[in-house]
Amino acid sequence: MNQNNAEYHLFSGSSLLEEDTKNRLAEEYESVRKRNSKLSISFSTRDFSPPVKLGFLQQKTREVLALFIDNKIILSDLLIAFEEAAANIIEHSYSAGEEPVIDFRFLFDNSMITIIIDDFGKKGGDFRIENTGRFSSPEDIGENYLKTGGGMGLFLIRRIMDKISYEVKPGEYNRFTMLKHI
Amino acid sequence: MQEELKMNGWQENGAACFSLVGYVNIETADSLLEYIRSRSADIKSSKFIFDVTGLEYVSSAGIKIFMDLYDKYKFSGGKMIFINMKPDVKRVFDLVGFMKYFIEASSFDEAMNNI
Repeated sequence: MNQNNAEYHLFSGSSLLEEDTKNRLAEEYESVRKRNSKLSISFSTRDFSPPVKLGFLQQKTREVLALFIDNKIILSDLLIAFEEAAANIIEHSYSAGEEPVIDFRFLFDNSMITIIIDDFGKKGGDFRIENTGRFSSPEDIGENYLKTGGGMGLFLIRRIMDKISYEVKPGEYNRFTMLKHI
Repeated sequence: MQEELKMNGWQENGAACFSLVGYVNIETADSLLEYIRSRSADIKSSKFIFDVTGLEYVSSAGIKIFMDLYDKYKFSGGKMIFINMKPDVKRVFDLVGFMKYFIEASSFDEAMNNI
């Protein structure tokens, strides 16, 4: 990462973002924007006592995103993309009953947000984002869902985000990256 | 702030009516499905009215529930009406092209007139 960038790993048992932390991050965000660099905010399932539920992670994600995103539609879109991505990762990288270990990183800069989700599941690589290419329009997905009952989550991610990628490094991590211009 | 879903269900003029307040996401979707199933079994209607004035968020987990409901009753005169859908909630339905299956209303009276 660029040395001009600012990185914060957030952790707290009860509240992820205390008021003074919020103020510090807001100042830092202004600073990195002026430097044309990035502000990185991260947290991990390892920060919290298991079982860590997806709804809880989404709530923490909402707190992070809401720091810098005022537009309710964009915020809602990003939360949808986050939920769909995390749900797919938990389903495809981990076995039922296995406690997922997932690291989340949010990169903010002048023009975009990047969400990076690293998991360490043994089933990694079972997640095929290219499958989403089979739907070319919302009409397709609607009719397809009524026929097959599936395919909606990743299609939603593609509709919301400008770029997505999935990288598997066997024995290291599986990384799902989503980027959106804001 | 806990992202919860509060539900209320009742019957009116033969329609199954529900009020949803809060968040329909992967954590709350199962309880919504269970609640709709149990209330629908009591009410025995293929017409559904959802007052979503207080609904803040819906993800694909929630949309799937509404679509499955639509699919179940589409050939038996089924109707689904949403009252006061917030723009960011409606947007999710639009993103997947599902609003064409549902009716929007701005009040309970308007919903009743469409049943």
